[in-house]
Amino acid sequence: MLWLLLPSATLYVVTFVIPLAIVIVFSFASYRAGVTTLGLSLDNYRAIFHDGVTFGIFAHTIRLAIVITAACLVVGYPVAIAMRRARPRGRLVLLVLIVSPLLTSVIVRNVAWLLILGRTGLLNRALLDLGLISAPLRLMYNDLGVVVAVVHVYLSFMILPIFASLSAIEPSIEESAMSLGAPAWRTFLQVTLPLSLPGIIAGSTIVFILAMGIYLTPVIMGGNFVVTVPMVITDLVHNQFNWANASALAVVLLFVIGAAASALNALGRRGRVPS
Amino acid sequence: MDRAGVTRRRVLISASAATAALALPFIKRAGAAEDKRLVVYNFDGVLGQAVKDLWIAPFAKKNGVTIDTITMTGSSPPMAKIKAEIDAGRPDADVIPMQLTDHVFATRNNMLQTIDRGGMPEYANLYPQFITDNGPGLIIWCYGLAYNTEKIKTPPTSWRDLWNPAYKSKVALNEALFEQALQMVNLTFTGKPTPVDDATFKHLGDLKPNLLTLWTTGAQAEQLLRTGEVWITPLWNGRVFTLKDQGVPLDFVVPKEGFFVRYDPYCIPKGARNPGLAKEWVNFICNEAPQRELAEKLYYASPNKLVRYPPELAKRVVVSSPEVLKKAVTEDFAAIVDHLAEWRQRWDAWKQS
Amino acid sequence: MMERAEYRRGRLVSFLTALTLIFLVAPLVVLLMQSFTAESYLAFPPASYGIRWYRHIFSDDEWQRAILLSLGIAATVTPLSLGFGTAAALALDRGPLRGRRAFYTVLISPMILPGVVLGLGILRVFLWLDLTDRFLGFALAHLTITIPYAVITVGASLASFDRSAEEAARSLGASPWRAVWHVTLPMIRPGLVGGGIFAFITSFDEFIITYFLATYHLTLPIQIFNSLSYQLDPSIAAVSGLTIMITALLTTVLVFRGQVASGGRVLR
Repeated sequence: MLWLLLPSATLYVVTFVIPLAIVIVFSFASYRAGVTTLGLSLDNYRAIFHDGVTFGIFAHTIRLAIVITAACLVVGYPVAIAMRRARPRGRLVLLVLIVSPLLTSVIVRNVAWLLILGRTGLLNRALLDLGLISAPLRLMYNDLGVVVAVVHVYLSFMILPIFASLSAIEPSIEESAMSLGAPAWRTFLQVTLPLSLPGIIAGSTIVFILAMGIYLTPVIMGGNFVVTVPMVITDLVHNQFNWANASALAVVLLFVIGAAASALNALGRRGRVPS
Repeated sequence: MDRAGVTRRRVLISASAATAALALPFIKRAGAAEDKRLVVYNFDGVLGQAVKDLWIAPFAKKNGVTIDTITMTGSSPPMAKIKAEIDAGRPDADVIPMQLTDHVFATRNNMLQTIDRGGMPEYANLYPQFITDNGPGLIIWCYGLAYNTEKIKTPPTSWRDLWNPAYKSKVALNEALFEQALQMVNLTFTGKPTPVDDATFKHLGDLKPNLLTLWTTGAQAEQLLRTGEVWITPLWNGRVFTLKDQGVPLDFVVPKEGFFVRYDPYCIPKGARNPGLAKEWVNFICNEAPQRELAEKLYYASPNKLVRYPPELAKRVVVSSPEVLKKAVTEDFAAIVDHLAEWRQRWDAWKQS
Repeated sequence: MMERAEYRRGRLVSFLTALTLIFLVAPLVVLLMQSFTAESYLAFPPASYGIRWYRHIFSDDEWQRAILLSLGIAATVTPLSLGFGTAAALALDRGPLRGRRAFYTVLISPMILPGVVLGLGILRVFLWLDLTDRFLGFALAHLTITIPYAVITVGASLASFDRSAEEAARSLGASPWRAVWHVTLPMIRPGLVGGGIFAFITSFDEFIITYFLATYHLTLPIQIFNSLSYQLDPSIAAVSGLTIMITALLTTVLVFRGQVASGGRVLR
């Protein structure tokens, strides 16, 4: 069966492995005042942990990604259940509504959020008019704004895999559990939830990876105060001509996220239905 | 409908699509009339349109050549991409306008051709300080304070006004020009743009309560000013007056400590396909007429001595004469690039604090 | 048939879902209203209404070409990524245990490596292969970053999948291939649909790698970026409004023609 990997493998050699090799080579280069010279130096990697700033940004990025993933999971699971329960037509409507944020481009979405969450935006104006607050809330240009906007768009990446897993569960399993006397919530926690684990893992993996890669939303929704690793990499490449540090940072990012995704995947296989 | 049938059909469709994609013709890279074709990077928005109307179309028409444009996102060309192309020997464009910091990078990485001044007759009419070895610096813009005239009744006079507690959460800065912001802070509190040190960041920290956001593109700045979320921010003179003409309650002041002046060198990359025609065009756009027309339309000053500004235009253009230019802050771009990495890190650290 | 406890829980789920749907749709409603503004800038609510911006994008060649190119690439890449990705997911699911984690990580890595860095790497390779600014180049690059979605979603479906049905088919004489094609694939359909949707969206929205490869052939995201850095004009609201309205229209048609009747049945 392994030969089924060949198509992807062949493509990847050209479009991923060789580019990655180029990146790795540059990660050992030296950078000084705008010029990158190839060589064999570990300075770029050392700098990530020792320059006093990059590590903090790394930690912040991971924290944000975890919050975003958790929020997507908590908010998204009920919707996946609703999708499962719905009739085919209802399911299609739900699907379209869930995927709808993705029909717009990131800048456009963020502008819409600006008009809603900004100080002179819809939400603040409504709350002020209703007398619920006396001064506008700071809902944007901080972590909160970023989380809201990112969860908004990545929710579907969590909901669909969970729905797929839920769909694979035989209703008879749950029905027999309940007919044996287990209350509905118990059945959910001990039967449904574990059986949907592959979907939870898949959704969480995708959302976590995507959340670790955000670099446009923090610029608009975070007012540039929120700094993520991809933003630093983009700045290094575009504004500093620094491919050395950018490459090293990208390699470390790949390593960290790859390890997390791989661990999640291993966890998911434990929830596998035995054949 | 048979489910398997649907999937089989999908496979066939995708296979034929793939074959079709492979067979699609691509743009010919070496055309017949190469010597009559120029490719230039161009700005976006109204600036790009003005360049097309005033600098590109007249030259193309007069000389019977075609000039294709590649639109830049913002005012900075994709230098990383251009470098990769130059390394492969095939830059996409013949002429590239760039930022002064981009220019330092480009020269240090040997990306640009040296332009022989003898071959550029119009150089004689340009103020020498705007001529670089790789091309003339055009579109001279000035950075001062833009403020909302409805919310701020007395016009600000100093950069220090940004720290005014009355403007809590109403101030913004340009993230893309963070190195200029650092120099501005120094200018305000020490009278000189450099060095950037702990004191600089302490003053910046004091600004934090007033700072609502850091914008990256002119579009963001414009949106923030229009909606009134931001009352005061450093901005380009040309932008402010264009918005003012559209009825937005904005005005522009040149702070007393000094203002920043920058321009965009128009350069030719190494390996460009048509350097001869490129030089002709660059020389053409330095002429008095195209330069004056752009200044009249968008209020960016010209390096051409022959351009005369009537008083109202002179005020908007700001850098209307060498005397005014003397009041601008002298920026050392080589030094800026040398320090960029260190300043960037301290800036990122300050943002997160 | 639901018991009372189930019914109460059903109400809770429905309530939460409704809240979430409002959250998902609210910005789009704002956007839709924005797209009908007659002003030249974005503000809420619009000072005056009109279809000026729709006329603008319909009359503008650049927008049309960009939309068509993006659609073309996404339509080509989606089935291919499903094919490649499903094959890979099957190989991982049925293949030997050793090296599975490593292969999985490598397969999903193009999604992880930051686009700005991967894009530059691909650009250098494609400059050498003369694949820049070409449909084929865009398609290959997009395919690379969409395969991971299929690997993850189809992989999860395979993990949830009870193989006894497939084994039953085999025991009745079906070849491994037929068993997979006729039994397994239909049953992991939700995973395929999910992977397909994600692949399409990812390709349609892809900006940074395409930006490095493109010169004259601009995709929609690049066109949007180019039109937005100088001024936030409502043409992008119109483009989004168009996408939203077309999708809504298609959905309404499908719902009322009952096309979903068989497709929605995903359980045995």
